Amino acid sequence: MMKSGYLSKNSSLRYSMVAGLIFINTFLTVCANASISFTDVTKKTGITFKHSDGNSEKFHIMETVTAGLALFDYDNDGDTDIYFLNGAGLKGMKYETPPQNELYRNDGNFKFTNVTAESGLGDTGFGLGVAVADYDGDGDLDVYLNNYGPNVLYSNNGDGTFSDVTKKAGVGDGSNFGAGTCFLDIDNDGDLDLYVAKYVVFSYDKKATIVKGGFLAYPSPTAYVFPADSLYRNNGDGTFTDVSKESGIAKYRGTGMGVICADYDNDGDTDIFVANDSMENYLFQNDGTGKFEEVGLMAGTAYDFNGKPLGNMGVGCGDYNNDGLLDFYVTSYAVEWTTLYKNIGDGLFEDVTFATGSGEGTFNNPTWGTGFADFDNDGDRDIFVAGGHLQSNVEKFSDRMTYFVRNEIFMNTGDGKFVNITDKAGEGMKVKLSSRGIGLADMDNDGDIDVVVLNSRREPTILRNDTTGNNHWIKIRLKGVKSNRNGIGAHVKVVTKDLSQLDEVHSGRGYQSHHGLQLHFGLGEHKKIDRIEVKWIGGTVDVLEDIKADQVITITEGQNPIK
Amino acid sequence: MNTHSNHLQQFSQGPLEKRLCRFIIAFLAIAAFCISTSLAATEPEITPGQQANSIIEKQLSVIAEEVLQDFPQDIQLAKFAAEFYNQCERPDAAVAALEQALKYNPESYELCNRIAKTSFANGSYDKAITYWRKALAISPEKLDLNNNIAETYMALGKYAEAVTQLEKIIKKEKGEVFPALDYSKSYFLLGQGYLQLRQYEKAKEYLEKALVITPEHRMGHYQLSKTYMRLKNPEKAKEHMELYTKQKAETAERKEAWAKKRKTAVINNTADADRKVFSRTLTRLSARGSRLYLVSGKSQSSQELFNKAETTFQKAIAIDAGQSVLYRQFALLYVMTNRKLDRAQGLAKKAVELEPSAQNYLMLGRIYYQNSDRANALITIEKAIALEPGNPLYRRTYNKIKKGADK
Repeated sequence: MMKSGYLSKNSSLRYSMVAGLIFINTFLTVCANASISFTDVTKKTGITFKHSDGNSEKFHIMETVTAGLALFDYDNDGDTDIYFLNGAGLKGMKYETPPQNELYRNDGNFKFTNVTAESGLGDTGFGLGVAVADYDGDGDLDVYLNNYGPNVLYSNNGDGTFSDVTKKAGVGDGSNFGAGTCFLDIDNDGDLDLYVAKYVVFSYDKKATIVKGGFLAYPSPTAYVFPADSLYRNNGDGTFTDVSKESGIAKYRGTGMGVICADYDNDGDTDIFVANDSMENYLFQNDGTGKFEEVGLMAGTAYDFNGKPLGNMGVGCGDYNNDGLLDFYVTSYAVEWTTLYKNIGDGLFEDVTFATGSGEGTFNNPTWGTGFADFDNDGDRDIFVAGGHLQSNVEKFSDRMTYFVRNEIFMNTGDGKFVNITDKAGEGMKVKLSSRGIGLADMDNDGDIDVVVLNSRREPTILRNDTTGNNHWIKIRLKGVKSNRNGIGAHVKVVTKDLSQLDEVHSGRGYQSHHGLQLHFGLGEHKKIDRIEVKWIGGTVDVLEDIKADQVITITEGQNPIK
Repeated sequence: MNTHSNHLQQFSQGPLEKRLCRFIIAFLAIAAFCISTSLAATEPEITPGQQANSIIEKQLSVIAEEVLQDFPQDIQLAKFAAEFYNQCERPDAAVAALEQALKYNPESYELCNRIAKTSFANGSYDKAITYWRKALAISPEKLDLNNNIAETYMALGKYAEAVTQLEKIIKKEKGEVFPALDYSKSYFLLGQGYLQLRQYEKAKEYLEKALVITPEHRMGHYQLSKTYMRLKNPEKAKEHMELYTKQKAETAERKEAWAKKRKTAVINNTADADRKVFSRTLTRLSARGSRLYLVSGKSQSSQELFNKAETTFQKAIAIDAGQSVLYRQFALLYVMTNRKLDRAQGLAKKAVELEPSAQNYLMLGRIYYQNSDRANALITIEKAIALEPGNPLYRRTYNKIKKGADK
C-alpha cells in the first residue's frame, strides 16, 4: 500500500512536471511565434508620395502592374533612402501635375525628406521596374528604370544628383512595356551588364478590355503578343551592347514580370530567373560566358508541382533552409498559391509550397512583391508577401475577392517550415491596400529589417520592425575590386557554430523592385561569428574569422584571402 | 414557396402588360445604368457583344436569386444557378445554392459532387474532400471520385494521403476495355505523388503505366522527365521533355489554327463564348423556374389560393415570357374565378400569338364567350377544331356556344 501510495504520489508529481513543461514549452512557442511585429509609421515619416497608375479609366493593362520601388543609399551617407516609381498619364488622360517618381532621403529615425527635384530623379515616364547598381564603377549607385515607354539610365554624379545618360549608354530599349530589371555580371568580366524584362506588346489600337460580371475589367496578358526580353553587355566605357540574340535570351518570348539574378547552381556565374505571367517561368542558366540556356522545365521552376503555369508576378531568392542552396519564392495571380521552389541540388527544384506551409493564405488574391529576410534575427529567413487585386472593381463581380487586402508574413520555424503569422505580427500588418513592389532593408539602422511597400493608387506603407527579443545580427557590405564595385552576384556564407547561412547580393529583385545590396544575417543568440566567407564573381574568395555580432562590416575583395 | 419579394409586389400592381413592361424596363435600366457607370468619362471601349453579355448576366442574377428563394429544394435549379454563379466568379454563391438544395436532398450524389468540384476549383480543398467523400458514400460505384479525392490531397500537399487513397483503388484494375475508373489518371496522380515524396522509382513506375494507357498524356511526359532527372538519367529525361514540348507545341498550334479559322479577335471569341454560355444558362434557368412556377400556380389554383396563384403566374411570365402555356394557365385562373376577364382575354391572345395551338384557341374562345363576344368565340374555336378535328371537347364547346347556352 505504502509503495503504491508512494508511486501514486510520485506519478502525480511526474505528471504535474510534464504538464508544467508542456505549458512552458507552449508558452515559449507562442511567444516566439508572436515575436515578429511591425508598426505602421507611414504618417510620421514625412513621405507624401501618392502612386498613380495612369488613371485612364479605360482599363489599359499597364495600370494594373505598376510599380516597383528601390531602397538604396543614393548619397553614400550610410543609411537607406527610398525611391518610389510612379505611373504616368496614359493616352487621353491629362494631369494638372504629372505624376513622377519620387526620391526620399533618409534623415534617420524614420524621417524622410523629398529630394526629388534636387536629385533629378523625378522621372515622368510610366514607371514599372527599377534596378540600382554602380554600373560605371565610380563608387556611387546609379538607377535604371524599366518603363512602359522609353527606359532611362540615371548616372549618379556623386553629389546627390543624377544625370540621364540613357542615350550615351544605349539602353533606352526602344519604347516597350517593361517589367523587372536587374544588373548582373553575365561574363565575369568585372562590370555589370543589364537584364530588361518585358511584359506584353501593347498598342492603344488593340482593344482588349474584358467584361466581368457585367463590369469592364482589365484583360489578361494572354490577349497580347509576348515580347522577348533584352540583355545588354556592359562595354566597360559607359556604353552597353544589346546581346539579346547572341546570349540566347531573345529566343524566348514571354510575359516577364519580376526578375532575379542568382547563381542557383553554385557554379560561379549568375543565372536569371524570370517570373512570367500566365505561362511558364524561365530559368536561364549561364554557361559562364554570357550565353544562356533556358532550363526552367527541366529544373522544375517553370510550373507549380502540378505542371500548371501560374500568373507569376514577383520572385524572391534566398536559402530558406540553410542548406547552402538558393531557393526561389514566386508570387502569383488570384486563385493560385504562391510557390516555394526548394533547390534540391544538381540544378533541380521541388515545389514545396504545401509541405512547408509557405503559401497559406495567399490563394484568393493576387500577390506581388516578395522577399526573404530574417525579420526576427533568429538565423533563418522569413518571407514577406505583398497582396492586392489588380481589378479595382473586383468586389462588383466577385464574392470573395477584394481590391484592398492585407500583406502576409511567413515566419520560418527553423525546421524547413513556415507559419503565416500575419494576424499576430502587429498592427502594421493590418493595413489593407492594393500593394505592388516592396523593399526590405534596415531603414533605421537598428539591426532588423523593415519593410517599405508601394501601394497602387495610394500612399505607400512604411513598416517599422518592432520585433522583440535579444537576437543578434550582422550586416555586410561588399566592395568589389576585380569584380563589380557592389559585389553583385557574390555569395556570402556566415557560419556560427551549428548555424551556416548563405546569401547573395542582388540588384533588382522581387516585384520590379530593388533592395538589399547590404546583406543582413540574423544570428540568434550568437554574439560572435566564427567565419564569413565571400565568393566573389570571378572566383576570388575572402574569409574573415571571429567577427563580433551586431555591427555593419565592409568586406573588400581580396583583402582577406583564404588561408 | 416563400412569400414574394417587395419589388415583385410593386410590379404586381396594375394590368399585367404594364407590369411586364415595367419589369423589362427595370432590367434594361439596371443594365444601362451599370454600363454607363462603368464607362463614365471614357470612350465606350466595350464591344456590343460584351454589352449583351452584361445585360444577360444582370438578368440572370435577378432570376437566379428569385427562383432560389422560391424553390430552394429543387436540384435542377440549384445546379443551373450554381453554373451561372461559377461563370461569373461567385463560387461562394454557387456553393451556397447547392448546399441549400442539399439540405432538402441529403442523399443527392450530384449535389455533393458539384459542391466538391466548385470547392476544389476555388481552393476550398478540405470542403472538396468532405463532399467527395459524401458523394462516394452515396454512390460507391463512382470510382473516379477516388481520383478527385487524391488530387485534392495533392493540392493540399498531403501526398502520402493521396498515394494511400490511390494505391487502394488501383488494385481493382482488371484490364477492362471500359473501366469504371480512369486508371491513367490514377497512375499519373500516383506518379506525381511519389515524385513529391521523393520515391522516384515508384514515381517512374506509375508515370510509365499512365503513359502506356494514354501515350499522349502531356503532363505525364513532363513529370516523367522530372523524375528521370532526379534519377540521374538525363537522356530519358530529355526524351520525355521533348515529347512534352512537342505535344505542347502541337496543342498551341491547334488552338491558333482554331482561332484563325474563326477569323475573329481573341477578345471577340471570348465575348461570343461567354454569351453562348450565359444564354444557355439563362434558357435553362428560365425554363426550369417557369415550369416550377407553373406547377406551383396550378396547385395553388386547385387549392383556391387564387391571390397566391396570380403572383406565381406573374413570376413565371416575368422570367420566361416566351412560353404560351404560362399565359394560358394564367388566363384559366381568371376564368375559374370569373374575374379580370379583360386581362384574361389579353393573356389568352398572347398565348395564341406565341403558339397558335388548338388548346390556346379554345381558351381564347371560352374567354370571348365569357366576355359576351359570341361571334369571336365561335371563330376562334373553329380554328381550334381545324387544328384538332378529332377532339370532341372542341366540337362540344363550339356547339354549346352556337346554341347560345348559358356561359
